[in-house]
Amino acid sequence: MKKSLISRIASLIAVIGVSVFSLFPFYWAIVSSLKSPSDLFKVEYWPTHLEWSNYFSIFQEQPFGKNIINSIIVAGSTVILCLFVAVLAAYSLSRVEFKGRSFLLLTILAVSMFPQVAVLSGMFELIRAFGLYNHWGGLTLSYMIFTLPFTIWLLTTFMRQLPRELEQAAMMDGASPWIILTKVFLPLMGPSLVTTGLLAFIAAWNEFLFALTFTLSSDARTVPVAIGLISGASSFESPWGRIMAASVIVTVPLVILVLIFQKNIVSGLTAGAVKE
Amino acid sequence: MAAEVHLQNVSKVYNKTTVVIPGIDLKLPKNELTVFVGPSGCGKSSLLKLIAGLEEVSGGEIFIDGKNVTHEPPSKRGIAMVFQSYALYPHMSVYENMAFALKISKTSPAEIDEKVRNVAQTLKLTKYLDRKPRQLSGGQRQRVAIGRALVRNPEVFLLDEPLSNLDAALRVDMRIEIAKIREHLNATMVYVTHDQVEAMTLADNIVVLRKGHIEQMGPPLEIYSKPLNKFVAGFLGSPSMNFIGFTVGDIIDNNCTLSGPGVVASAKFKIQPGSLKAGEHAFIGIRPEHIDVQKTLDGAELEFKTYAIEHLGDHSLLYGHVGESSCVLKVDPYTTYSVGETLGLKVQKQHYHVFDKDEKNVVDFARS
Repeated sequence: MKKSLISRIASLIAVIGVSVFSLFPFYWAIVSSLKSPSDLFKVEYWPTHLEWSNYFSIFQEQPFGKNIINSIIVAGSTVILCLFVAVLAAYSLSRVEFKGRSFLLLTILAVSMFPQVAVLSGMFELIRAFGLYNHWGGLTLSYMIFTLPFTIWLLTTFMRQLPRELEQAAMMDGASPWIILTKVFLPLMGPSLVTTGLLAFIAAWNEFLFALTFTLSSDARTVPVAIGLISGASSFESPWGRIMAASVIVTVPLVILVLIFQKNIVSGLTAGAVKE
Repeated sequence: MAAEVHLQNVSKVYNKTTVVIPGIDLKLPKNELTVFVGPSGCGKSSLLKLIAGLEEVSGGEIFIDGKNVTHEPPSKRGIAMVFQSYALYPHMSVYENMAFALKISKTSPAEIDEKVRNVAQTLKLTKYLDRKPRQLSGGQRQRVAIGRALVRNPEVFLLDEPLSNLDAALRVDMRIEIAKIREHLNATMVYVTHDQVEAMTLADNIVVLRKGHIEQMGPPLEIYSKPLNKFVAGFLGSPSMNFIGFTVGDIIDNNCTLSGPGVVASAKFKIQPGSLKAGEHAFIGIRPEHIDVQKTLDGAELEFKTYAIEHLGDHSLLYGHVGESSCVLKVDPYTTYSVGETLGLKVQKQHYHVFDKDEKNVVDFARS
């Protein structure tokens, strides 16, 4: 069907509008990060001269490198632990018949409905009791609260779509549930594992409230907290340039990750939506 | 290595209320191919899954080779199964698919290789060993599924509607191929299908099921020529048997005559003593190929009104009515018939059946 010129121009304008709206904040962050503190409040849509000092100073004035490593460790371990637990849970929730299965699934979903603040103090006591205060392990553990529900749900839905006969064939071949899971199901779940893993990574990478509460020293902080606590040399200097520089540094890895796995994410998110 | 399969009062109930199989006693003879056949929902696939151990029985016991395997897992029963959807492992090559069970049972790699290659050769799959299932055609996938079952050298070989996903031409080829594989194979086979042609051509024994009950069991030709009831009679044969409703006339010496619309001059039908009473409603059953057709009503027994004609080349089918019952005739394609024509019919004397009001076949099989 050939579209008229007017409708094509209209849709082009709409696309440009949406793109500008969603990309402008990120663009503005990049532009601001390249300005010297004195230029910061001049409105310039195009940087006239590049000032890289913000990028160096965040690493000099605070342990930002250590913060990035903390974030990688916390987000990485969250993803690994979370996927491991979620895959096992998804197998039993999708394949094993037991009483109260749907009730359990709803309970898991309900956990993610609590606002973070509501569980904050209780969680704090738990972390203290485990001796994980001011340690990345405490963050990994607490991040399970919001990453597990959706990973379990996504993987359960995906595993349900794997044909029953495939599992029965493996049973006839003498495979134990563990072998069925690792040798038959997991190889078929690549895209959905990447998708859920990436979503969990992003959630853990960007988390602020728990990270702020459960860490004390600047050496133990993760990136979002470190950025939030960047301050100027004096109370009269606003640190926006450095905040923006730090933000750009931590966003770029995510964007790269998403671009690498783009194809997998799309096929994972739409898997089973239509019959193949 | 073949083993006898014995089901003793086996039943299956889902969710405590849905009775799929109320209780079946069945002996599947060693080294023979038994076909479970019946309309969908008759419990044939459930029965197969119970034998396989993929579903737990609700009652009764299953013996394979004299051993009670009722509560053994599928892999401990010495059985292999071919699934309707093939259920090949999509991420493994043909070779890996066939080797999977042997790997799990810790067979040595040399032995695995030998067995897989042997089976691949029998099934003409050697060329495709490195391919993934998605690179194969439907027929090839089916052969891989059979191969995967064969490498395990099963005592009992179960096939769950293995040909229903193939197109018609391929189905005939695969049917013949399965018959050939059977000759090499020393195993008791159970084959589930809803296709009566597969049942007739492949089976040593047919078990006709309806609503979880065995309606009849026996060799194909016996079931075809001596159906015990109207259901079995109608299920086997294509086009299926004609059932013409009538009222029982006189019964003299266990020979009954019939009356009703469409009856020109009744022949005598031999029935079992005391099975019918005069004035009762009953059915006469005749297969389309067992009726002689003539152009006039002179000397005919039944009057047939044609309403449609199908030319199939080697024969033609006439669709029409005898009285109020619909009726199909298989006729010579070179005689010209026309729609609306009235024809006279004569029932061949060795091939009729009589069903009473409970659908039981009451014909005296020594009729000829």
